[in-house]
Amino acid sequence: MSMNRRTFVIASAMTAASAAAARIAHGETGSDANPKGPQGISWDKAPCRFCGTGCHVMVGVDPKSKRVVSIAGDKKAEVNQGLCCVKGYHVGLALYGKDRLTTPLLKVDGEHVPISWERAIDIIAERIHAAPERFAFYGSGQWTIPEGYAAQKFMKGGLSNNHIDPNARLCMASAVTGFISTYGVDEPAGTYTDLDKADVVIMWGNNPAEMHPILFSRVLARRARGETVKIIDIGTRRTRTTDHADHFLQFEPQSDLAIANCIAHQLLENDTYDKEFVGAYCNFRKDEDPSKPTLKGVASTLEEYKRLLEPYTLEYASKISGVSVEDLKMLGDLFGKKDLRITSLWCMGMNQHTRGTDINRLVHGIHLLSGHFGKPGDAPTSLTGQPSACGTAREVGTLAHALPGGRIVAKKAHREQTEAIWNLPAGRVNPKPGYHTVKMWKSFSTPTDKGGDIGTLWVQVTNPGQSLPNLNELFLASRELPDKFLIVSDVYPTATTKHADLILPSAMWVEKNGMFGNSERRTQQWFKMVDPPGEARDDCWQTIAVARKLYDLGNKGMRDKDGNFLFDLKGEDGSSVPVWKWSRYYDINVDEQLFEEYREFTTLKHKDLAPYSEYVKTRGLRWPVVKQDGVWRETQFRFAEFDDPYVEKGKGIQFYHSTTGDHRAQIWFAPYTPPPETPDKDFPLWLCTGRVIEHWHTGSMTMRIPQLRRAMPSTYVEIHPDDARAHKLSNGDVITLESRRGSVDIPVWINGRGKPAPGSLFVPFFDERMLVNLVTLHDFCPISKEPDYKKCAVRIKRSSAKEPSR
Amino acid sequence: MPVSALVITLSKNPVLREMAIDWLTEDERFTLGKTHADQLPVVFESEDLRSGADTVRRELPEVTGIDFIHVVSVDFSDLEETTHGEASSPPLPHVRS
Repeated sequence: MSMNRRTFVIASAMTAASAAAARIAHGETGSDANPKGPQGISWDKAPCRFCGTGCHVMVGVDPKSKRVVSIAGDKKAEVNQGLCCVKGYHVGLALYGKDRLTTPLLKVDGEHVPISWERAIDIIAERIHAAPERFAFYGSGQWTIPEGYAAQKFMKGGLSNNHIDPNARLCMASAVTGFISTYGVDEPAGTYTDLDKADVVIMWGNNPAEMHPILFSRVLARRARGETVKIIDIGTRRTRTTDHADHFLQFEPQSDLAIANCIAHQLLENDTYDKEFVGAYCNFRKDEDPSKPTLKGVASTLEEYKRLLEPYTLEYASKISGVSVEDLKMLGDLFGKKDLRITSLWCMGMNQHTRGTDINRLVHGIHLLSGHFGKPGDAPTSLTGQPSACGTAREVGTLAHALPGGRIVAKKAHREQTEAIWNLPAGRVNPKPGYHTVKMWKSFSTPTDKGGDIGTLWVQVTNPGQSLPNLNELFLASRELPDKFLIVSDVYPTATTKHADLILPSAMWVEKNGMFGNSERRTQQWFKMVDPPGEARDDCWQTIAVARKLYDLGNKGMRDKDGNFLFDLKGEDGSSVPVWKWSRYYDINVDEQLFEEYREFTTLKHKDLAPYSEYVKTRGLRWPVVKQDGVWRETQFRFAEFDDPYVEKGKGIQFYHSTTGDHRAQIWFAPYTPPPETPDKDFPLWLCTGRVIEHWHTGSMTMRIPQLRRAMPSTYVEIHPDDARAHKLSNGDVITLESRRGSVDIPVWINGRGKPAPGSLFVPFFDERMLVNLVTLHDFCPISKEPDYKKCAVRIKRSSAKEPSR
Repeated sequence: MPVSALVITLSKNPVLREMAIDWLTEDERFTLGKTHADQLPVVFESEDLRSGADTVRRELPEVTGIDFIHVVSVDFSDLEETTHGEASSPPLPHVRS
């Protein structure tokens, strides 16, 4: 780092501190100072708005201005122990960008013009009422649990329409299918506690130093205390995580499949696999036809597994992956040592993969085969990118095939259970899975007369105009089709609202009540602390208001089997409260009522949740939460007798949702399969996309926080110095980055923060002025339907433009 | 080295207040800004994240004359300094003639 950079950082910090000091001093009330903090500021807890780590912050509100004025790390929070990352400390400022959306806007003759909420709700309801089967709802892992639950009930219980999917499809769907096909139930067995106990932490295509910095700091802190923790970074580019790694294994894109198979091969070849663990707790499984992988596969045997792994010798895997024989052997030897505790971590590198389910299965398989499972610090653990990808997308089940609590629409018993809890007439829930994300947007972008059967699409809490892959084909094409109507609920103008037919201004974070569920099964709760600006309103209210309008229009789906409104919520006296009227929405705690209803779904898959009131008192609880001796007790380690209340005594390990019904997990074989697109003479470079520490996802919030924007003002393309030299490029030169699908002009950064391999590029996707997803491909994992943002073929040339794309 | 922005609430007692300022001034980890009423903006440089947190959570609250410490921000952006010595933000694009 140069002295100039450091001087800048210090000056920025002083500016921020001075501004905060002035704010705090101005709000001073003197004698009635809140004992919990500076004078006059009222404090309450909330999970951070950004990533899936689930840090808690203390939010300070100035009672005079009724604005969030302070953020501090929450010392009572086990996840972050009083610390926050650079985004977390600035999260309060995400509310106060100057261009917040404050009124509904309708596109008229190409211009967005203000309209009333009443008219906006009418427009949506009338479109849905006219053709409910042509409507789709696209949400996210940023939906709170009650918001996602309301959307889920509205669609699947009300409209009998399963075309609802979250953007979480783009980030963790492969983890879901990996967990389900291995253990029979979704989400990690372990928790962040594993990071405090592991002897070895292996990052599989993962950069937690930037994407989950608080978790990574827990590992680094152990080293600082003198503990020995080996960090192994298996990746396609050097990152900040690499800087702290004992070993960096740089592999060719997609060849992680071969590396995982090579580790399994060594365990068998060296006879270091855990025979006792495998014999007691595991089965073997494979796809009947590896070119057509399925979620269920067929049974296999240890002998067949050995035979299928035979090709994956050290030499063969080294040839495919580019990782040295010595390093591959090092991995095999580590997994062969039973006295070590090994934690594998992964996030987008394994999930955004055309064989995402396969690589997830293989990493689980290595842990099971080696017996590195079921002890603190010994676990395969996926991380999520969004604050409630687990809580809302996975647990509430806002995916196109799912129902709440681990149920699926295709299973009759699950539909019947859902209809019973929702008090719906039999047959209301549609058995046919809806469109997953890529299919939904492809249909929306296809002319109606050519089979594009989605005509109205409502987006809440996400920014697909920037985050979808292959934007030209999946997103922008729809904007040329006059009968396709796009509704977007958001807090700021984005690359999506820019193209919307109707924009709804939303409340965000502590402007509303909320609940999230983080990466380690921790359910969290917070209360509304400040009012949203202008006419911005809760997303959940928007859904209920549209449902009520449909009820008024005579839509039968909006009534339960007794004729009552689908969202008939009660006041303390038992009478119905018209929460579809905004003025009455906060007369009761809508979140609490929806959550208590949702809780009924959670016991089937042993994801039991505590009453809402328990989450009010805590910084979250990890499910299953079971009442024992009068106390609600959370679970840190699933399937392990010492901690999981659902494991029978004497079983040790029990996979009680086993897909084979015998309490065993499945060790899968999956072959190395080449990616759908590889560099060639026309497009000779690899492109990988991702994130940076300063900005969260598409940057719609963090680019409005001055401190973060100053720290990382624009996106860039990382390029290896050899490639830069070959193209006669120097730092800051603008290049045209082009694939078979589109192009974008971006400045280059050589020897920057990350270091790509020769022949490969990396571009962060946070900058809406330079949309790298014009270039990416939308090929997806055949099981999870999650697209691959991590590898496609591109070429570069010096741009004829004098400035990057804007 | 992480750089933190803090706001320290000083005691209203002038003697205790001066003691706190003296203590902070003598420690080169702290750079002091201009006080707003009882609120003193401070930039704090620590060896690593954990020691920084320990200072904020344990050491500073014990200092006479300090009533409260508010963490405004922590800059993590130079964590790579130990290994790279490279710029940590991208170059602004320049226009070529």
